[in-house]
Amino acid sequence: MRLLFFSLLPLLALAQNEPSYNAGLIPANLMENADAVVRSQEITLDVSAPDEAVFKEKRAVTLLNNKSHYNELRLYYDSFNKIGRIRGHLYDADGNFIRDAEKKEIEDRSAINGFSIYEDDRMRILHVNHDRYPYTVVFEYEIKYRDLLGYDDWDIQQFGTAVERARLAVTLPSEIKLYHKSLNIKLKPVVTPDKGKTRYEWEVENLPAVKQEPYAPSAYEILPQVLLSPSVFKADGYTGSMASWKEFGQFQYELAKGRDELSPALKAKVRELTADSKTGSEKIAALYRYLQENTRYVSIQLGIGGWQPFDAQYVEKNKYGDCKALSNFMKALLKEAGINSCPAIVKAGDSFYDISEDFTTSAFNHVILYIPSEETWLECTSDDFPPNYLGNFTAGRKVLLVTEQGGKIASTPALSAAANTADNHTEIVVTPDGKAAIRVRSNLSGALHEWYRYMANNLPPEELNKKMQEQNPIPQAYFTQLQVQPFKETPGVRIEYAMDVPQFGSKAGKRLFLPINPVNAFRDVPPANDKRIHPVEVKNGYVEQDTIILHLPEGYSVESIPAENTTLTNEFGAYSMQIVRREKTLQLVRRLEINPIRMPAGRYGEWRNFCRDIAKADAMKVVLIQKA
Amino acid sequence: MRYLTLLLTICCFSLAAQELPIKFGKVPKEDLDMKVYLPDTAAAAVVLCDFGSLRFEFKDNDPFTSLTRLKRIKILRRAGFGYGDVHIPYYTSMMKIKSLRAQVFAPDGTTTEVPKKDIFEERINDKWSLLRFAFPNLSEGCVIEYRYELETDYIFELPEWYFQGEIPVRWSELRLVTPLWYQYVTITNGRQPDIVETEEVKENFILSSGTGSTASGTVNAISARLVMKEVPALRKEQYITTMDDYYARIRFQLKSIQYDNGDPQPIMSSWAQTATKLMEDESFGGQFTKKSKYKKAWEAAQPYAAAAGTPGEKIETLYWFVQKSIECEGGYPTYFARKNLDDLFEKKSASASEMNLLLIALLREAGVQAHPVLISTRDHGQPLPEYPVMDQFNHVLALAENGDKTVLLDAGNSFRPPGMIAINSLNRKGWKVHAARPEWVPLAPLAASETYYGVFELDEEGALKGKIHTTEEGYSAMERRSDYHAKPPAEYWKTELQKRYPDAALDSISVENKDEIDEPLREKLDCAIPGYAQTSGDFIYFNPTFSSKYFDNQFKLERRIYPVDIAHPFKERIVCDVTVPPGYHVESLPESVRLSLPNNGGRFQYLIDHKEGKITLNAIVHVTQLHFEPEEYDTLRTFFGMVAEKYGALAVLRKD
Repeated sequence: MRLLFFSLLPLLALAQNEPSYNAGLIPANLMENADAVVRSQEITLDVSAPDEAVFKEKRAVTLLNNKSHYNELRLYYDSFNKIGRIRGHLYDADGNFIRDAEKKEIEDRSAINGFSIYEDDRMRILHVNHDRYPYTVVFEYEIKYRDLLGYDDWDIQQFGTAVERARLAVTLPSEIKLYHKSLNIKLKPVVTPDKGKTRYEWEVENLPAVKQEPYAPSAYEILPQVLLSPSVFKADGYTGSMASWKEFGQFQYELAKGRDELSPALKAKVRELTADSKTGSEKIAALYRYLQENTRYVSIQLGIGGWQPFDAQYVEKNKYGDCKALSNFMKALLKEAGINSCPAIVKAGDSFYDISEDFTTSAFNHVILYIPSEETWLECTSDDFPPNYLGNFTAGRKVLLVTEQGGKIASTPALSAAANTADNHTEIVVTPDGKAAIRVRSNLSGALHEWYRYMANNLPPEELNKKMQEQNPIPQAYFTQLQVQPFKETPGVRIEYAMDVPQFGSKAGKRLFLPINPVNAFRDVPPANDKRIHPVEVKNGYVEQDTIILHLPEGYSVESIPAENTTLTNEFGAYSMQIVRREKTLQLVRRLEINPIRMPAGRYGEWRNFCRDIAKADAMKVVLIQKA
Repeated sequence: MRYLTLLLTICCFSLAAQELPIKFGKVPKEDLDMKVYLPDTAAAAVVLCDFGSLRFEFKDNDPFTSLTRLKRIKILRRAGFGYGDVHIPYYTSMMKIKSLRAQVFAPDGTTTEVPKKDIFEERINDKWSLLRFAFPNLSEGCVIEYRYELETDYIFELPEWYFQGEIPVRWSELRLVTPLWYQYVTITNGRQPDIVETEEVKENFILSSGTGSTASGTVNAISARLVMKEVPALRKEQYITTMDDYYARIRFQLKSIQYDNGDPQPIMSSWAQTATKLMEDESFGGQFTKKSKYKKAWEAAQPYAAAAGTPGEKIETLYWFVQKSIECEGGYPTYFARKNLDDLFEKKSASASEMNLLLIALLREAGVQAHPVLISTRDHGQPLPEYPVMDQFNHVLALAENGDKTVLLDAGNSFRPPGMIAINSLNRKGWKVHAARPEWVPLAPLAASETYYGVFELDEEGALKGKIHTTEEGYSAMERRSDYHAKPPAEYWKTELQKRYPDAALDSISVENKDEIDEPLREKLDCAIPGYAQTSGDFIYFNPTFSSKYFDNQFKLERRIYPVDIAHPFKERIVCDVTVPPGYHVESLPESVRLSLPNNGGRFQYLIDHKEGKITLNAIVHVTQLHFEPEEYDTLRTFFGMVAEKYGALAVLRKD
């Protein structure tokens, strides 16, 4: 269920005074780092009632090269809205008019995403190309809304795009109040009365392009945006408000109200499943297991169904549902067992806007379940997570709890570095001719274990073996034994494997060169950048501990080893490697801790050097030489 | 491996009382009880039976076909639940799906039917639609089944049948009854059916007319039954063309029509006739033989063509004219022009096929002999020269004649000179459409070649400093120029060097022939790499191979099921001169080695020596064989294993 798409621009009626689209008139500061320049964007949102609005956009963008997609207009629509006439105009580098797009160039396509069985989302696409850059494409269109679930935000700028001038005007009847908040830009609207309505107008000028960088905060913390929320909206007969989190949560609550009734048979089943449970957490575990074993994730989103869950009996009957429906079903199971729970609405994934108390918005895309009495969180779309494990998908952020008393903000627990661990024990037996037998036992937890859990539970052994082989850093080595065993009760996995290596390291004359850390070497050194703009953000922390025992081959002695003690410590983390020489073995003990952290841009070099030094220490070689 | 046969030719068995392999709603208890599928104990799901039955019907005397399909799947483990989400695609304007029913059997035998309201119809675009539904009530051990009828009046091809897929199939069976009036050619791919039975029968057809009256008549028909049993699952691997080249499947194309007492009407009986038809087709030959289709484009191109003197210059000029006038859309929708060439020219946007058709039109107008060459791109599958089955093609190239030489043209990427076709187009051979002399022409690929020549000095701290001269030709040059489009050369090289050597500094760089697409691309770099060598006491250990694509063996898997298919030959040469630091001598060097693939399919040399404080490495990886059978995989893997090993080998220097 999409709302308004302010994908990129009030209507400057196709006027006599069409501005010049001559690319040569773009100010020099807007050309820097830009792939495209928004020359002008005019958006109007004219709201006439809580469930009625007209959205118009006209935008002119000069494309400087083929790296952006501003020559394409993509408009999404569904049963809630209707797209009016779409126009497209093309101008060359000097701003000369080339042509208008024809109606038959507009393509109509389904917009169902890959993991949905059904949604009513569709899109219209219009492409306008030219044969040489720079050129300017102007799009104009309007969308009529018959239902509104809030207003979409104004994404003023994308990475790599400069904005010469852009304006948003929102007009509302007096009974609807508009809440707004600007992000990453100081911007205040001009508010004026307009024929019995109120008009809000924002305008920006001269925004240079913003570069994208690795290890940076999400776009929500970098790119300028205006968030918009109405005091009242209406869709499919349901009325809601974004005046406060409390009220917005109340709306969500009403949508789901009365949808958590189970059949008598399932009620009996719940009692049976929890009969032997002594504590609340045991009951939760038993019912969560039941949910996981008996339902699966299937997404069907129609009209208000984008927000309203299917009722519990629908899930009971079909044994499937989406995140809302499965969370609602789990809530119903828990209710029957006497445990109160509430859905938590969240923006899942790596990039999210961290909501705050002062502004109510609907920047969410997922639902999980919270059980206050046990402080337990459940990801109800996972069929194999242990209870109270959310994973990287939703951990460590603010969510909106939907309760009988309305909405409340809460936070999901973060996955600290200490929760994401790898303990690896590696034993390497090298023979005089340079062959080796390697045996590895690992315990992984938290974010580090999720991939293995998924693979082990979803792939046949042979395919799992292939996936692991594709990641195997040792050339020509194949598993003689491989086991990947996810734990049922805790977020962890045990991995054990053995392999025979026909040539370990390299051999030259009477010397053998052996990598000191063959299976778990750190390799990701971010690119150098002495003009770093954005803060440094390391999102996921973790701790790795490695013990490596290297059995030396008969007839060889150690010619050189890298430093016996390597220690690196700073705010980003800590690394240590100790090498202990014994008569027939070398024992290496390694520890790497990466802290989740945010630092000013000026510290990027330090972060990179830290990564580089770790990579270097891990890449060292032990040199053995044949005894005379 | 493909086989072509005329369906309906041999009468081998009687089909008279052949029982149906499966009945909707009747699941044998042993299938409900099945815990594991013995031929593939790891399978998460298995197709118990996939049964199709195709027959002809007539409406207003026009034939249409109806395929009744029933597919039953056993879900053994949760990992197989995904097969409970079903998509049935169909061509909106020509196909209809009727009587869709779907139900799930719990292991205890209780059934749940998918309600009609939960079956969704989705219009994907203006051509294709999908029926989508999700089976409810799935549990480990359940059996799901669905049936539908697919009706179409498109009888030029019959619906294609896949015997095989990414999960095992216990039984797959297709039955067809085709009136003798319609002669079909069949093309089978991959494993051959275990049972093929055909028989001539008298079949009663109902002919309904628009006025509501019906008549029936008896027509001679061929009844055929094709069965494949215990078909193993096939999973995708890297370095293949497309899985469609490997799945066992069968296709049918109409060869001729002959009604009773009538003369046979060939539909596509020969390549020559196909060529003639294509040349007359408004969306193909008509586009470049009728001037009205490309008049505006020619007006724009004419001054350039007139300025070019020789045919060679005209080819070059018009190739670039088309490339610069139109932005390529990407993808290979079809080899036909979807709009008139002038229309596309004005909209500045076209598929690669359409660009090539325009190129043919302009070349011809300029007096250069040019012909279309139909091909199948690598992701579309192998060409099928035995018979004019047209859906084997999805792209068209332009073949231009320049005296006694020909040059293949494939527009769509401005980093390829004339004669270098897209990598995806490199699929064995193409068919030249020529009304009088159609023929198959080889698509002999150009190679990718790159040379790195480094002259360095190593200091006693282990820092390397010096110059690198590089040369890229063929597909390597194309790739590098496209890299330079994304990033300026200095930034590109700095990033590349720092990927392997984080401390590397690029002091200067110059690029030769960046925009001279026909010429080899050359770079000169000055760089310094502190920490290049590992130092320890009196020793310095360092790798003489400073750069290569083959540090890691790309062939990581131990075995393969499918052949390895490489698009084009490739060659990489590394030459390195390193001056050792004063006061050090060479203690030991990696051993030199020469290695060949069988039948001269490829070679590797690693020759290293030292003289007067200077180490010289001369290494080459050169592979010309493009196709390796699974039996040859081991050799290929070992070959690149050896390369990786040598390219990781260290030289040892010691203080005097």
